[in-house]
Amino acid sequence: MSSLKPLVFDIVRGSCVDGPGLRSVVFLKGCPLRCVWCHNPESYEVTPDLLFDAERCRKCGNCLEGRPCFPGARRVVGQYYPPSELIELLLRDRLYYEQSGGGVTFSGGEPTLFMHYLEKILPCLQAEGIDVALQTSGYFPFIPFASRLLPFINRIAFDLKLIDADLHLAYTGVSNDLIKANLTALVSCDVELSVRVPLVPELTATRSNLDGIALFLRQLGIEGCEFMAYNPSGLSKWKQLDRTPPVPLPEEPMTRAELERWCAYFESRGTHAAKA
Amino acid sequence: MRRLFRRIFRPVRTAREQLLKDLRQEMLEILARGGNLDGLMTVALKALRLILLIDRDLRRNIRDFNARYSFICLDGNLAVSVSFKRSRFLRQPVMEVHDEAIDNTNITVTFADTRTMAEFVMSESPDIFAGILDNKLALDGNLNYILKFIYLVRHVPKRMGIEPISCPA
Amino acid sequence: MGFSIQDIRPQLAKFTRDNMSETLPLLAELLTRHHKARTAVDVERARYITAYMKKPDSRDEPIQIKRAKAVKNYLSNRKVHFHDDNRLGGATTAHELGAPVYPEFFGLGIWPELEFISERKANPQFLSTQDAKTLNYDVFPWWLERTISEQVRKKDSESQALVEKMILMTISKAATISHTTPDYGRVVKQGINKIIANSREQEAACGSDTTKINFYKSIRISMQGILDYSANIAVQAQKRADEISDSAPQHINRRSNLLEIARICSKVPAEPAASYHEAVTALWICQVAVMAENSNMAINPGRIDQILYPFFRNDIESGRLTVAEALEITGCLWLKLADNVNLVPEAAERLFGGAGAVPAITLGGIDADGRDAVNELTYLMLKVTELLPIRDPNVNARYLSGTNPVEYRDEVSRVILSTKAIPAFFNDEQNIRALEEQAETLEHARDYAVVGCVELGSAGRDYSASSSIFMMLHTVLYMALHNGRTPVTGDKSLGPETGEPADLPDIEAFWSAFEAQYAWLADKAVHLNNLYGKAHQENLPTPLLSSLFHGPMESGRDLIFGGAVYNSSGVTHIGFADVCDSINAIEDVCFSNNRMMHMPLADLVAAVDADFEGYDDLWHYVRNRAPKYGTEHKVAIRNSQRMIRNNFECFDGKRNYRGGNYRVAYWTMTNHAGYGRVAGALPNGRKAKVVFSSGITPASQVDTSLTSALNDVARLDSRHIPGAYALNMKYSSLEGESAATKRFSDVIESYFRSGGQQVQFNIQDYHTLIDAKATPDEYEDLLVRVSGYSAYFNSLNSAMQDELITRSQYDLMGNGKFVKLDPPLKSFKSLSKAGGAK
Ligand code: SF4
Repeated sequence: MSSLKPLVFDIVRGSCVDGPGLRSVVFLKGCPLRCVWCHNPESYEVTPDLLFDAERCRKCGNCLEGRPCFPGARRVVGQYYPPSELIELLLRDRLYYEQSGGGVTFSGGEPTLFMHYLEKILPCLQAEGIDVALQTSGYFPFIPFASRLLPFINRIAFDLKLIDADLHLAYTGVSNDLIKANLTALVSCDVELSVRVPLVPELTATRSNLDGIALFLRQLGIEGCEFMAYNPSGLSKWKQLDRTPPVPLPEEPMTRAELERWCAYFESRGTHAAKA
Repeated sequence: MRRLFRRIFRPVRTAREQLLKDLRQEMLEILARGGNLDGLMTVALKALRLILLIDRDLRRNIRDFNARYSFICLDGNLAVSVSFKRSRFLRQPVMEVHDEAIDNTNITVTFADTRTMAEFVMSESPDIFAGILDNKLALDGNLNYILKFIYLVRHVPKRMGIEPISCPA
Repeated sequence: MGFSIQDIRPQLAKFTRDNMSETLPLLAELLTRHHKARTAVDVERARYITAYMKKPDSRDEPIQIKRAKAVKNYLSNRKVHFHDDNRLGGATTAHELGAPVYPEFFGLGIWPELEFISERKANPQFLSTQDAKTLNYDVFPWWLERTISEQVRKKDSESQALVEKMILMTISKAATISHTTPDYGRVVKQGINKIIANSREQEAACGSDTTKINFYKSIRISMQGILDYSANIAVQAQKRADEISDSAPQHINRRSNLLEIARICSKVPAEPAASYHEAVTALWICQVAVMAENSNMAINPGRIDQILYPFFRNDIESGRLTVAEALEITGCLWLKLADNVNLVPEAAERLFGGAGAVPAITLGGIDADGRDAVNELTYLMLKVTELLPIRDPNVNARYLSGTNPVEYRDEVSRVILSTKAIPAFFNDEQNIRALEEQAETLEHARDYAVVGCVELGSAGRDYSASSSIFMMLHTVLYMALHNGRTPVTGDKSLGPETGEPADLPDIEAFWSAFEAQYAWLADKAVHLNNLYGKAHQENLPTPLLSSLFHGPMESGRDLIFGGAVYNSSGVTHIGFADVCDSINAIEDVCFSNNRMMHMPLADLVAAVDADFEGYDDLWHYVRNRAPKYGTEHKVAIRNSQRMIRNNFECFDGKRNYRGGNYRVAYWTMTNHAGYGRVAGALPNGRKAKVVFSSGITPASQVDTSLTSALNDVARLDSRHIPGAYALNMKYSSLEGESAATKRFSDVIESYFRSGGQQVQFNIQDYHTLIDAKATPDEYEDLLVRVSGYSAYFNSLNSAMQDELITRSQYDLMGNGKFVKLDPPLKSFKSLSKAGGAK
C-alpha cells in the first residue's frame, strides 16, 4: 500500500458509462496489476508520467532548453488534489447526481491502493448523501478494505479478467487467488456488486475463460456480469508513453456482432451478460 | 422638324459611342497595367456620365435628382466629384464630373487606397460594409445616396462589356 | 359526440413524421411546398405606403393619422392570394414566401442590387423587373431623405457616425419597430368591433386633448384596415370557390375549404371567435396586420396554448373538432407563420445571412396565479412542432420544476431529440424572478412570453423592443487596451483616454479601463437609441400595434410614446465568452505570479495586434492553459460574474425614450459569426477573422465538461440578465429513444435547478455539419439553432456554418466529455473553403 500522495490522472464529469445516472469519475494513478491490454497504461505507476503526443509537437525545441512545452505535446500526468479540494469539485455536480440517480465513481489504476486518502473523502461524500461507486481490479487486502472503505461505498464494479490462475499471473502479473477470495467475500457484504469482464480478443475472450467465469459466478450465486468490449483507444497512450504493450494488441475495436456472439455464448453457459 | 433634329444629333450620338469606346480602352489599359489603379475612378465616372447621356431608361433615375458626391482617396491624394443637375442646354438631366472635391455634398466617400476605390466603381457587388469594417472606406453624409449611386455605377462595367473586378470578400 | 380532453395525448402518439402523408396529407403537402418555395421580394406594402405618404392631401395630416391611413391604404387595397390549400386565409405578402420591403427602415439597402438580387449567389430573393422598377422609380427616391437613419443623422450626425462605424454597436431601431408580443387574446375573445367601440368611448371621455383624440381616431383607422383586409379575403375566397365547378374530389375539398375561409373571414376578427378554427384565423390575420404596420422581425404570437385553449377544449368536447383536424389547423398556422423572411441586402447577407422572421411561440409554464399551465393543447402544439421541423415559428417551452409535470419536460425533450433542434427550453423560476426585479408584478411576470430569440416580456403588456442595442464587447476590450482608440479610428481616441497598456499596472486598473470604455459606449448607445426612438415617435407611430396592447387604450397614448404597461428596451452583447477568456488570459499572463508565461500587458497587446505572428508560445499558452469560462476555474468564474454585474449595473437606472428600463441580455442571432469574421485577434488566442462564440455559450473547443460548462452558465446571476440569454449546447447523436430522453431531460432539470435561464440544442455531429457544408444539396432542409432561433443550415453564410461546426460537442450517452473537433480547426478550414459555396 502506498503512502505516497495519490495522484489523479483524470477526472471525467457527466459520465453515463461508469455506473447508474450521471457520474463524476476520479481516476487514481497506480496499480498493482500489469494487464497487458491495459487501455490506461499511464495508470500503472503511482508516480507522475510524461506523455508525449507527437502529433501536437511543433518542434519548437522549447523542451530541449528546459522550457515549458506550450503546445501541450509533452505533458505530465498525475496531479495531487487535497481531499477538501477534490470533495468540493465532486460536489459541484450534486444536482446532476440527484436528478439522474448518479454519483461519484472512483477508478484507476487501483483506487484501493490509497485507502488513507479515500477514507478522508468517502465519509464526507456519504454524509452529503452522494452515491459512491468503486471500480476495482479486486486486488486488495480485504480486512482493512472492509473496515475502512466498504461502509462508505454504495456499489462496486469488480473486474474479473481471467479465471485460470496461471494465465492470470502471466497476463496481469499477479495471481488471482486474492481477487477470487475478495469477490467471494464481497458477495455477502452489504454493497451492490457487479462483475465486469473485459473482452480482449484471444486473451480473455476465449471459450475456456468464459466457461470458467460463468461457472465461478454461478458458484457464488452471482446472476450475471457486464462485458466490456475491447477498444484500441489505449494504443495511442502506449505510444505517448513511448512504450510498447508487452503483447501486440488489435488495432480495431471488437465489433458489435462479435460482442453479441460472446454474450450469446455466455448465456448458453447459464449466466447472463450485459453489454457495456 | 424631327428629321432635322435627327440629322443634327446622329453625329452627336456616334461621337458619344466613340467616346465610350475610348474610355473602355483607357479602362482596359489601366486594368492591364495592374498595380496602380488611380485614374480608373475618374474614367468610370466619365463613362457613367456618357451612359446617362445615351441611355434614356437609365436617365430616368436622375430626373429631379440634384445630388452631389465627392470621392476622396487618401493614398495618392485623389479627389473626384460628381453632381447631378438639369441641363438647360440639353433640356435633360445630366451628370457632371469634377476633378476635385466639392462642398455641400450629400455624401462624401473616403477610400484608403485606389484599389478600394476601383473596386467601388468596378466590382460586381461593391461591399461598403466590408469596406467600413476593414477600415478601407469611410462615409460622411446620407447613406441612402450612396445606395442609389451604386445602383447607377453598377451599370458601367455591364454597359462597357468589362469583366467586373472581383472583390476579395 | 365529443370525447374527453384527457384522451388527446394517446391519440397524438399515433401521428408521426413517417405516417404524415397518410394521416395528415394536407400538412405533408404544404410542408413540401414550403421547402420548395423560393423567396421573393414583396413590394406591395412599400408601394401602398409610399403612395399614401406622397399624396398631396396627406401632407397636413398629423403623423398619427397619416401613418394609420398609410397602413390602412395597404391593408384595404392589397390583393388577396391563395397560393395553396392552407386552411387559414391571409398571407404576410403577395408571395408564397415573401420578403417585405420596409422603405422607412433599411428597405433602400437593396437599391444597389435591384437588377441582381434574383440571381445573387447567397440567398437570392426574386424580384421581377416590374417590381424592381416600382422600387427604383416610385418608392425609393421618395425615402432618400426620410428613412429613420437619415432622420437621426440630420439631428446628430456625430452620433450617427458611431453607428456607421459598425464595430461599436448596432441600433436596431434603424431597421425595425418590433420584438414584442401583442395581446391577440383580446381580438380572439372580443373582436375588433369591440376595440373600435372602446376607442369611441375613450375618445368621448377624453375632452379636447387632440393628441388623445387623434390617437383614438388612428386606432379606428387601423382597425378598419384589418376589417377591410379580412372582408376582402372572404370575398375572394367565395369568388374562388364559385369558380370551382367540377366535382373531382380534390376540387370539392378545395371548394369547401374556400367556403369555410369565406365564412370565417366574414366573421372574424371583427366578431369574437366561436371555434378553434375561427380563433386561429383571427390570430393569424392580426399577425399579418401587425407586420403591415411594423417590420416582420420577432412579432410574436406569444402564449397561444393559453389563448386558444378554451376554444380548443370546447370544440373537442363538443365533438366539433377531431385531433387530426386540430393538428391540421395548428399546422396550417405554423406554415403561415413561416410565409415570410427578412429582406436581406447582399452586403448584410455576408455578415448576417440566414435569418427567418422569428415569430416566437411560447408553450407551457405557469399561469398568472402560479398554477401549472401545461394543457392538452400544449402537447398538441409540441406534436405539430415535431411534425413540422421548419425555421419559423420559433417555438419555446417554458418549464417550472415542481409545478409543471415531469412528463411535460420529458415530452419537450423528446421533441428536441426528434427534431434535433426545437424547441428551446426556458426556466420559469429564474426568468420570472428576473422580470420581477424589473418591476413587473408577479402576475405579469408569470405571464411572460419569449420575444423573438430568447428575450422575456409580459405578454401583451411589455412593449419590449428587446433587440434595441447590440454592444460589441470585443471592441470595448480593444478600446480598453488601446487608450480609447478603435480599430477603425486610427490614432484618435474615440472613447475616454483610459491609458496605454503600460499605464495599467494591475488587473484592477485594467478593469477600470474596461468599465470606463463600456460606460462610454453604453452612454452613446442609449443616447442613440433614444434619438432613434424620438425619430420613431415623429415618423412612425404604431396605432395598430397599440390597439393590441394593454395600456394604450386606457391612457390614450401610442406604444411608441410609452403607452404600454411596461416599456423596456433590450441590450444584448456580442463576444461574451471570448472577451471573458481574454480578460482571464490578461490576468493570468500579465497580472499574476505565473512563472510559466509572464509578460507585461503592453507586450501582450502587441502580440495580439500582430495576430500572434511570432508569438507562438504565447498563443499556445493562452489557448491551452489560461483560465477559461466554462471550466469552473476560479479566475474565470470571478471574471465572468464581474462582467455580467458590470454590464447590468451600467445600464441599470438608464431610461429609454418611453420611460422604460434597459434590459441586459446575451444572445447574438448570427451576428457573433459575422462580426467575428471581421474582427481582429483577442488575448484569449482567438485569431483575427475567426467567429466568436455565440450568446452566453462558453468558447468552442475549450476543454470543458458538460457539467462544468452548464454550471458556469447557471452561476451567472439571472437578476443581472433580465433580457435572458441563449446557451447553445451541441450533443453527439443520441440513440435509444427512451434512455436518451430521460438523460437529456435529467440534465435540463439539473441545469435549471442550478440556476440556468435558457438552453437550446443542436443534436448534430461535427462530421454531419462538415458534410452538409461540403455537399449542401444533400442536406436541403437541415434545421439548426443559431443563437436564439432556428435556420436552415444551407441558408447560413459560411462564417455561421463554421461557427456551428466548431461548437463544442458533448457526448451525452458516453463519458460526458466534450469531443474535440478532430482534425482541428486549421485543417478543417481548408475544407470549409473548398466546400464554401457562399
Ligand atoms: S516543447 Fe513541445 S512542441 Fe516544442 S519541441 Fe518540445 S515537445 Fe515539441
